[in-house]
Amino acid sequence: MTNQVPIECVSLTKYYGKFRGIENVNLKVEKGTIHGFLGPNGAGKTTTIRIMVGLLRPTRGNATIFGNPAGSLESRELIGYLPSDFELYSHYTVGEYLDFIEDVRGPAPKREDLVNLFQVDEGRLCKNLSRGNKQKVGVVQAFMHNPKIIIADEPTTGLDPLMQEKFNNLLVQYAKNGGTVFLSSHILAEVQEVCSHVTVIKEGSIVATGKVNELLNQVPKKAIIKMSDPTLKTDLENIPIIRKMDGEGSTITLYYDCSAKDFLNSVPLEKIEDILIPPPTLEDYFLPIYHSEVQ
Amino acid sequence: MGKWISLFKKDIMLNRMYLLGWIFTIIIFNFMMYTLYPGEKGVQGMLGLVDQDIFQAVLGHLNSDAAPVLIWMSFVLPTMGIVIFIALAMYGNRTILLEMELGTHETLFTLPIGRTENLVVSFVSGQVITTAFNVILILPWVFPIDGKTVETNILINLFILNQLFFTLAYLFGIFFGILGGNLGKTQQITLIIILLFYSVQIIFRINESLQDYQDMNFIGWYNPNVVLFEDMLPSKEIQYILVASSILVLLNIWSYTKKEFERDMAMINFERISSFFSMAFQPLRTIFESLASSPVFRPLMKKGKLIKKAETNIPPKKSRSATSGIFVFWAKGLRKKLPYTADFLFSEARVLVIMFWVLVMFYPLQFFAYPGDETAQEIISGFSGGFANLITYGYDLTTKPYTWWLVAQAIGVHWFFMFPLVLHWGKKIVNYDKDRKIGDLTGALPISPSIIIAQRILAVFIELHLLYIQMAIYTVLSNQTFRYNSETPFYLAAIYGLIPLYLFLTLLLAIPIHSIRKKGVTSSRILGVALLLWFIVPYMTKTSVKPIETGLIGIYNPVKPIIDLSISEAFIQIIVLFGMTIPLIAYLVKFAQKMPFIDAY
Repeated sequence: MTNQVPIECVSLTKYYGKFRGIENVNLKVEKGTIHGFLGPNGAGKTTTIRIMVGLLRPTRGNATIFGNPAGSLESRELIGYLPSDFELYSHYTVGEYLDFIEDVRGPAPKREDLVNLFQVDEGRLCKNLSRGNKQKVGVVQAFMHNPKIIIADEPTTGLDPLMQEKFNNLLVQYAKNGGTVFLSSHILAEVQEVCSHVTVIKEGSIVATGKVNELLNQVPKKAIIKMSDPTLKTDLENIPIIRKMDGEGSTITLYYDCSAKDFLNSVPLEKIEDILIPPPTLEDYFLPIYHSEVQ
Repeated sequence: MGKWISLFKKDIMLNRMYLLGWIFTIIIFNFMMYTLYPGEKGVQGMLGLVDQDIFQAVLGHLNSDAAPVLIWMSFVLPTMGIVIFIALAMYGNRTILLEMELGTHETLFTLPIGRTENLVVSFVSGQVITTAFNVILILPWVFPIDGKTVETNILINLFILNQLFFTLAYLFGIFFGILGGNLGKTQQITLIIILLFYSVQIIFRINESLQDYQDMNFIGWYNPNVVLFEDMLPSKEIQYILVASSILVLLNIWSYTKKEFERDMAMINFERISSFFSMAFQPLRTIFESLASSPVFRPLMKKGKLIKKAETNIPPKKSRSATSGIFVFWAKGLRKKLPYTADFLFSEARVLVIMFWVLVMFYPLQFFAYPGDETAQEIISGFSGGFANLITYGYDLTTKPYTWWLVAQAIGVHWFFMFPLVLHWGKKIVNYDKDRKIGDLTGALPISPSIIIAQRILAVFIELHLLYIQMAIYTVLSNQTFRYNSETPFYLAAIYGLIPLYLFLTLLLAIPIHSIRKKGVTSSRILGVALLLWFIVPYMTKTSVKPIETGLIGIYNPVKPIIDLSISEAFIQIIVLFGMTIPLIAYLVKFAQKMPFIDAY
């Protein structure tokens, strides 16, 4: 039973005793995409991922990997997994550890390239590795057998900026070659940079999913304005495309519902000393969700 | 095939220290029992003792007409069989849960290995270990003992019985590992269940009306006496073992496919079971608590603000932590003034429970089994040689059977149960923060490392007193029971020497860990074993030993004050040993200033 959907979750629900893990998660990851999975702490990201890789069993619903039930031998053959707290066997050297993974999983054609790319020292004892160096080994073991899907839970934790950049480039290249990536992350800028699709989970349920561009289009556009005339504020209140105004003093932030060109045509530019129109970010989309959790 | 070999090697390597520890323990125990063989006369003397119900209950039915070597083996095997059963059951727990404890399960169980396949490889590694334990247990008896050899047929049958019983243990451990989520808790539950069934077996053996139910107890299926005395395999018991093993194999495969690989996530809520068992400690806790709030103790504790602080400063907790452990809950009162002492004591909650049971095994169980002067004298007459010399510190106690009994069964073998503890403490005083990966936090606090080390040394000092109090209670009760009351003060003074001795050894062993950046722990263990051998070897190899020949451990001699009925003799030893600890404390406290707390050792 195989199909072309790399990852699919249908009504996926997991309870830990009385405690909710996730509830009715429906999710589809398209082939050749990098799919970001965002959510505040405790939202259910790791639970969802652990069900996908077969470590946990759902209470209800199901998850499939190319049509194979999550956790089945067939599904695990297709996956490269990088957990958030990646740990190694302390009695091995890095080389011996990678040998072990290779023995169990089969040939690893990408191993040498990845070891060189991430400057992994195969002669070092695993127990002497720092957090970041462990993570590099984790990346190598996940990618080295060239799997069809990469599932990564906060993969850049502990990596330095240079290695993060290498990792992101690797993801992009991998997706270009037909691989599918599903990754959870807290670094919104990174998700925006590398992901084509994103799903947001909160309190165990999916609250938004779609292409990054589409989600960004939903973010209210904003302009940061430095006023040269204090009467501008009163003028702006009467302009219908302006939804909201924030800020005190001479610098204010405006939220509007139209193109930047129409916005510029609508406001009295002679009363403005300076204007900045930043591009929408996932942070703008995501932070209100965070804040609503706090409230 | 390469995949299976890799998994097999990984299993063995992950557990190598655990397995080596047990192999070493079995070898030492076997060596002791082999060298301690008291000869035909001694064995006959001991048979008089085992006429008592309690011994029959522990050892099973003995055949007094059998060859003395076989009778001696029947004293050893039932106990060792249970000890190895426990070791292998816990190894079974580890097979399932250790990866989750280490966090490596997240990668391993997402690799394309079938669960049954993984379980089969683990079972094969378990069989290799089981065979190794079995060989080590049987091997000494292959060699002639007192010029006589045990028949090969008996040894082969013993090997078969052991192999089947130990395999059952491993399967039993795997089953509980699958049901459990946390390795520590699962091992505790496994141990409790085995000891419970072991106790039930003893009770059922004492009470004849319950004999019919004995077949339902898996511990009772291990019956080496049938092999030893009837030269045949116990067919009924073997059938039970095979059926139970087959059921466990099926259950294990079925339940393993249902298992979720998440740390601390059990299929069965062991928390509830363990709280049921902890009720066994409730009477003791109630006694402690009512003592603490009694009119006698309350004013004293209030003066030191112990109760007041405990009552006002500690917020109510939803779940139980180590701070409410039966032996350490009172340390909450130390948290304000001596936070590192209190923290060290809380972290020792489990160690103190284990030591409580170890002392119960060595002290009251042995003392109250004292068979009376006459029978004891018969038994003593059979014991000679190096080990008997060692446990009596080279004294001839044949005319003092009660003293011999207390010294040989408990007081004289203090090193046997206390030595692992000093190795543990020596490492923990220095490496506590590093091992728990909290070194960065501890090192960043505005507290001098000297204060931290000094407070931990104080905690060890307090723990030693807790252990002493137990030993003292058992000794007093025993002396009262057997009317040796007038000698009690000398016994108590003699045992008190354990405190400065083991404080001194702890600090001495902490120094290599502290001073040597790499291999400090190994160096301290080597030093510890060397000191122990320095003490043991002269007694084992010579009939007359001068105190100076027994090294640092030999400075303490509990037998001398008891024999001489001399408080001053005990006092001198205590003063000398405390005097020796002072420079060590000074060293550790002074040089602790440089201690980085992080992974530098």
